[in-house]
Amino acid sequence: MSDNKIIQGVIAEFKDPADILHAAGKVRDAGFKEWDVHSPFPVHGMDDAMGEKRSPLGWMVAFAAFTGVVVGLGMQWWMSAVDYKLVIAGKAFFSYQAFFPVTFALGVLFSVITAVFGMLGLNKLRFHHPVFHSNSFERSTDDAFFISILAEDKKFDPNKTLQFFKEIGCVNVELLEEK
Amino acid sequence: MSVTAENTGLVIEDIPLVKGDPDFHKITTDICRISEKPITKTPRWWWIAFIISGMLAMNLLIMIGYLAWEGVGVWGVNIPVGWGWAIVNFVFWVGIGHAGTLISAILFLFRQKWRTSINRFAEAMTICAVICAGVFPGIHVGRIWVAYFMFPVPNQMSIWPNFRSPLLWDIFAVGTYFTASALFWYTGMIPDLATYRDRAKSKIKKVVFGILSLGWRGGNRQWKHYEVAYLLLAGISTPLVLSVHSVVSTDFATSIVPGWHTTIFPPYFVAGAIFSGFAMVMTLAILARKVLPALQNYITIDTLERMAKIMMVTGMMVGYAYSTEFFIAWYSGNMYERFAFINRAFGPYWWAYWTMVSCNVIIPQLFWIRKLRRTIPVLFALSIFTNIGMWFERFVIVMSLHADYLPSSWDYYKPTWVDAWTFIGSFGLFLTLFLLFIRFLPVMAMSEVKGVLPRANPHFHHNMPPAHKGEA
Amino acid sequence: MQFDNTKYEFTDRGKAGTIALVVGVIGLVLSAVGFFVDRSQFMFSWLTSFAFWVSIGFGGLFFVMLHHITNAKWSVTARRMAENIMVTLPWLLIFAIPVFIGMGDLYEWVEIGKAHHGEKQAIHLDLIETAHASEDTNHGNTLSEETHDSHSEANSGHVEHDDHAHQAHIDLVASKSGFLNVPFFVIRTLIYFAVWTIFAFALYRLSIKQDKPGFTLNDWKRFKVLSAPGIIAFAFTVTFAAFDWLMSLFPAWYSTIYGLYYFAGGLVGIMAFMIVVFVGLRKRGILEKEITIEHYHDLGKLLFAFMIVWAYFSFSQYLLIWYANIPEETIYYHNRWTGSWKAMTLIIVFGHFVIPFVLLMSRHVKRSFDALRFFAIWLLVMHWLDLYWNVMPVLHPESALPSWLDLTTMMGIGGIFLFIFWRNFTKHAVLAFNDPKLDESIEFQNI
Repeated sequence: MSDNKIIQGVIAEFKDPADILHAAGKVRDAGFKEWDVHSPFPVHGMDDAMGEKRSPLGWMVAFAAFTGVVVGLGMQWWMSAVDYKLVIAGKAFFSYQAFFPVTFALGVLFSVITAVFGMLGLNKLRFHHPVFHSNSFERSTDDAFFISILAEDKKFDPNKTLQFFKEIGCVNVELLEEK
Repeated sequence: MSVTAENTGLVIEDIPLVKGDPDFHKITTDICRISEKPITKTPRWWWIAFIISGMLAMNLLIMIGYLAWEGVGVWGVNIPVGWGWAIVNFVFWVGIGHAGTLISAILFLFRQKWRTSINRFAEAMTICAVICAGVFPGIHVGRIWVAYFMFPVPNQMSIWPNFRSPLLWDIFAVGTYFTASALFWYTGMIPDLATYRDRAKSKIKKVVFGILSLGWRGGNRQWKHYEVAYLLLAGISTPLVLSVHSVVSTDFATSIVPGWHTTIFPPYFVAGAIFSGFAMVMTLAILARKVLPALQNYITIDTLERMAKIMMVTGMMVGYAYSTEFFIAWYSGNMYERFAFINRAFGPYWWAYWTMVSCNVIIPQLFWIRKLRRTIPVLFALSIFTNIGMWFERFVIVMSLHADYLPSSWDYYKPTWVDAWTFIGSFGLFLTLFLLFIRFLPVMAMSEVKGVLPRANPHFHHNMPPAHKGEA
Repeated sequence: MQFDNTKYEFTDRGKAGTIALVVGVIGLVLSAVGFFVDRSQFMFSWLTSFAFWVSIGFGGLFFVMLHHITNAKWSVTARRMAENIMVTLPWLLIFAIPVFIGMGDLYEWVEIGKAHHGEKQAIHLDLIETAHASEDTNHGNTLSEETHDSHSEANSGHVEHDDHAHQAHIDLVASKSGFLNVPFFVIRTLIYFAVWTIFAFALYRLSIKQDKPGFTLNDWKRFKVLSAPGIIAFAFTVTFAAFDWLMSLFPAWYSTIYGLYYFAGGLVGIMAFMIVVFVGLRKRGILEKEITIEHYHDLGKLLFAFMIVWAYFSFSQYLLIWYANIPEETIYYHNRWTGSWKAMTLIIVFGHFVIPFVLLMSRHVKRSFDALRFFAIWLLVMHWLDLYWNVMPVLHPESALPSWLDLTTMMGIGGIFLFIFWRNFTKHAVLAFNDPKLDESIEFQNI
């Protein structure tokens, strides 16, 4: 590696939830795409400020629930009414009434797993991310509010973006450089 | 914080969710400090508690080993009481395990913000309790080495398990419940684990919490999915919570044993589970406030009072079920039903029945008095009474077996020392796990508590005076 | 119809009340004809309609009390509506009078009770008696025969069994005469209405007082002070109302969850009813700003949730009875799985649960006024059908037999119910505009 550090983006700190909500609207209006707001808790109204669409997670979970129900009922049907039939308590081989609890449980199990892992997948989490190169980012999980704009963004220009953040009233701003 | 009605000038004070109006940073430090202490500085009370409960947990293992070696003859079960303390303890622990998810899921859906200071804690308790519960179905099958047959795995004859049996429903319901609670708990913890990661000084902690927090960076593009996931988990877990104890109730209610077979069992068990779960959360919360004074600003007396109210309501639901059951037993005109209930109240186990009624229905009536709801020693005592009463409720139900249809086989069930030590040992397991949790993991959902503070509202400083807009 | 948006009051009530009154009177007159033409059909139709409208009324009472004890904020804007529904309860007592008059047609235990008057049924219930239970004991060991009896009544077979089984059935029902007798039934019904009236009026008066200056903090606290014991009294009165009015139609049968089942149906009813009225008002430009899309979303969620609660109670009852397979209990479902009742059962399973469950799950449906109203009306119909399905198999065991009286009794009681509701609703502000939590209620947003 050369001595020239690669600039990966810019991160700016804002004072409080009100400020960051305001600033987020400005960043959106400036036309940036590869940017995000980092806060210790979800800030109310931020999705609108950022112009975010609703999460598709609901549909994924609905599909998973349906799959779970089909798998659950199918499994019980196959095991009890096809593969090895046993007469128990005079009940039908395919006793849908009695199969309800397990079917329900599997529907829930599939949905829960999808909700959690779907969420993690959609979040595109990774252990190495430009924002972690900031010197003050660890405060984002404590009490600080940041906006980061990544270098991948077409409108990104290190100096102009720095300037832009200063204009919209950040408390602090720094370049994200690979270490 | 308060809200005002213009016309009448009536001012309703909103109860603050946390005391002392802490800022975000104070919340972080208050909670992180609890577990950031180096091992050498672990408080003495923790070691004492941990060693005692660890020994009891070992004792549980020994009892299980002894049971496996000798067979179920070491228990007090007999004919007709083929189901003794093992099932009582199973239902007891699963019941306790309902509070956590109830607080995280149902109270979330009902927008009860006060839940944020206790939900983490209650969820951890849930998981510990469900683990304890899981022990009992595993060992009460008698031949432990064939316990795998509870899962959908064919046995040596290629026979599949019987899906028409409530015991199998239990496995799926409790298994799903454990998975869902654990995932819910973990999901809620990710942002807090990221806080731990960011505050970690030592290399090991950095790596461990770094991995556990999965690279969380608190971006709104993550919070967006996260919040929806949380809502979905809450939405899915709510029917799950109701279904689990309903399924547990079918262990009894699908049978044709008088006193067991009654249609109100599913909702009645659910109410009882919530009741007992809240009692256990109350017990642990009061103890935790004592040993971790930092929590006192978060688990306030108002939080405890609200929990007391929920206990009062669920206690009365249980009372409603007791009385409906009793009435219908008479109304049914069925001799066996009538006998079962009269025998419960006045038969050989009358003492258990009246312990149950006093602890679950009569004593909680003290909660009507506001002063008592706000007196910690009283709350603690009442939560203990409820714990006891709810254990007895299950005992009373199971003991319906002692007088079955064939009077010549009626028998009185007495537990043995193995029964007793297994039960005590399960408390050891429960507390061991719970102590590990409060020592190493965030005991309170920091990000959630921060999110419900008035200052977290973006409109807090602007537009309106804070007195009007707070707590929105 | 004219509405003052600043005071939240109607300046002109419009014709809605008159229309309701006319429909109600026509319904009552036609039903009265039915009383003389086809008395037993009238009684059963009347009971169904009565149970339906009472369940809407007590649903309102429950909604209000729940709102107060949970300290809810979002529902402030919906509260006044529920309050106006609950104060119809005292008036509904009038409609219980035909039930009292025609009890003999409705309830089998009335006749049996008369026949057994004076004959004390000895029920021995101590340990020894049970231990020595033998053939000649009347109760318990004749369970299977008794079911045969009800069964054979429907199929008019098994003649040789009839006498013995019939006698067992009569003995069983007669053994309940301590509870199931005419005076006690009437007294109980009066008690239920008395309890509901006391709480409904007290809460209503307090709520109206809130609109005027002079409403104090103590008054505010009284909302809760009333609601907490109110809920307890409510639980027991509704449970026993369900036992009395509906479950004792088939007096040999019993189910501990039955009270909760009727209650849950009422909850579905109240949510659906409120949605229908709110959307109706909205279409006329009333409460557009105050009851936001977020409130509809929440009302929709509660409708959805209560529907699931209803399904949960019904399924619990069904699963446990199906599983244990004891004839004295399964008869209930057996009767409803015969002839065209089978189709009705399936309509309820799919219409009251499966279809609305799948469709109401969607956020879009709950946030669309027309779709939400559609499902609200749908579920109101289903709630009525559910009660019909509970009541009618007693009269028409072989198969469902729709009658014009089903319609006229619904018109009669419903028309008067709506007339009273509308009169109350338009008398005061339709919104508890002075509630300290109102602003928060209006501003609140779903995630």
